[in-house]
Amino acid sequence: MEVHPAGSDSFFYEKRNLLRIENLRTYFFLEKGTVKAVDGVNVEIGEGETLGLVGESGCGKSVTALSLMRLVPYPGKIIDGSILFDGQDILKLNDEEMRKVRGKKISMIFQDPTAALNPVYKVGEQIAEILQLHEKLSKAEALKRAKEMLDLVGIPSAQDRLEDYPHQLSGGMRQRVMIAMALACNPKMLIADEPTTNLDVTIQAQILELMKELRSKFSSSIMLITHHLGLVAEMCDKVAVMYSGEIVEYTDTKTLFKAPKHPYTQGLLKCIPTVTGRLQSLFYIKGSIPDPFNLPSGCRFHPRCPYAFDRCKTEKPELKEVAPNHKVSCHLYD
Amino acid sequence: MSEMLIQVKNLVKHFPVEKGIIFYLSSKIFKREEQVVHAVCDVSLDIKKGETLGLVGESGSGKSTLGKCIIRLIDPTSGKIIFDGTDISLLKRNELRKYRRKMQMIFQDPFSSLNPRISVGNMLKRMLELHEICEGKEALNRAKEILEMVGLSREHTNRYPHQFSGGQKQRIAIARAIAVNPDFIVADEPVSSLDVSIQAQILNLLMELKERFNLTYLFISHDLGVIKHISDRVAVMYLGKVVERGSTEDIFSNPSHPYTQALISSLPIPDPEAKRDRIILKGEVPSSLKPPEGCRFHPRCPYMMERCKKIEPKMIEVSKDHYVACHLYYEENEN
Repeated sequence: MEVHPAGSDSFFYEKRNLLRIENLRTYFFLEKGTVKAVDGVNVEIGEGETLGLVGESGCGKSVTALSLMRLVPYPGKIIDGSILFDGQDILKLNDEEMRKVRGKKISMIFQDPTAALNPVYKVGEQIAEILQLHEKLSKAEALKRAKEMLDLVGIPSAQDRLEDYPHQLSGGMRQRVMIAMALACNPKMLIADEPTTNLDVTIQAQILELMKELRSKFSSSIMLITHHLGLVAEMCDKVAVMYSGEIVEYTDTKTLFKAPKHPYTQGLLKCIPTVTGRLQSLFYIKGSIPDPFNLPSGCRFHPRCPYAFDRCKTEKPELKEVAPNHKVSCHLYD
Repeated sequence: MSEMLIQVKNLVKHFPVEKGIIFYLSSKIFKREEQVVHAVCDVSLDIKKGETLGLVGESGSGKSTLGKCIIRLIDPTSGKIIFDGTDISLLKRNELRKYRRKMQMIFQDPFSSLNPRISVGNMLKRMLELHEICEGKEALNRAKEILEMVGLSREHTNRYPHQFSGGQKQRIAIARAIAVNPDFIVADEPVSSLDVSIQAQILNLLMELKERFNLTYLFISHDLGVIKHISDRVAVMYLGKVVERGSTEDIFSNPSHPYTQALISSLPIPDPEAKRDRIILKGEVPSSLKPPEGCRFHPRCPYMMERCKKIEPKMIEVSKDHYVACHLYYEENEN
């Protein structure tokens, strides 16, 4: 692969790609019409790398994650593209083979641990089940490992907690259990879908610290899905910004925060109220996200874009490299 | 400007956990102590006319309960609430009605706080009629004007809540709050369910309306960025207690309570090169059924001393209008 001399931190090219999503399209076929939830997404994640997928609600972040796990709910369908994981296209696997990937090689931390944990099984059993299935451990061994996992994620008196049901734990504890479950089989790839959104700031800080620690311990790759740019700045090596099912900007974290190119990214960064500065009036992006049944022509961001010109209304911009390691889909940079 | 609009004195709100006759009798027979959630414990605050007081704290710290108590949506267990010189904490329902007009609330979730069966215009019209401000056609016209004030159009009066997006719904909730010309608005996490780009629009609108109608806000949020942006003064709550209050500058540039320090340091900063000296707290927020003795923060506090376990710290003034409840500062002032 060619090397760009200009990009100083060119991990785009240095590290071996663990995951490569090409032209992924996941559509939902509803009575009212087709929702193009994910419409031609291309990203890659190297080994031990953390990719942030940012965007507002409804932009297709979570559907991208679910597509990776092949867990897209009905009436959604992956209609095009390929997901190369470790050299293997997981969209071509049959259900049996896919089950061996899920939880073992790719695992996911869901947004809402209350909904993702089974309320009628003990926490210990739920973690042990994964180990019994994938690692073929006996129940006693699996429970022992489950206890080790709970220790690892910093749950005090882990032995007793194994016997607890999810409702007996607090939100932060449940999220830790989710992380323990996700890491039980030492997966190569971890998808974290808004892992701290439901948690308080002090607990969020604890969970982030834990994820960083575990990342360096297991050197797994992480795909962090969030709407919180602060988290991205802190956790990620590179970032993909999504808008209405498409990636509009894709670059390393430093460049994104220092020199955002797409007007949408610029807007997003400007409109966060920060603790470091106080303005009289906040900048905001006009309008709201487009109706998924009735997407704007041309560039999907043009009705809200402050720089929109005629061409944006008719012609759709492509995601192009405008600087080394910096891809943007915007006509301004043609 | 400096005149007090709201004074809260030693407000307490306890929620009983077990309800009903069987629990009542069994607690009498077995002499069990009644379990209560200590949602708000002995809180004193004041809000000046025309200012925005930001109330921060984690979930379960009693922010919303305090907000609802102040406008008497919930009756406090004890304590006083003085609104514009009148004690409203013991007023009866019918006496309270004329104060209801002056105090309004914006709720967190616009999806569940709007009645799905009433069109937006009718909702505002009913409100105006109920408070005897205007009636019939005039009320409907007024409703249209109010919708325009919050950035919606006159044609929206015939629409129902489900026909609006999240940001628009929150605008309707704001329209409802300002419809009756209130003096005081409790905004309970008004932007936390919205996306960042919409959040900025709503914050701007709230600030614009405040200027225009000379409103006073109690702004409840767990987002320190939002709080810093909108507030003149800030109060920090932990487990039902206000642990620190002061001007926004004081709280953010010179946080004094260890909890406030941790809270501010744990905020993710949207800048990959920013320095982070993060204070990671151990453990989690204890249950408000059995709050810890002494200082409520002591099990998680990095500077915990022996006496923190036993003696509850009182609020003391560390600098002008900057109050902290912490033993670390108590000592200095005693000597």
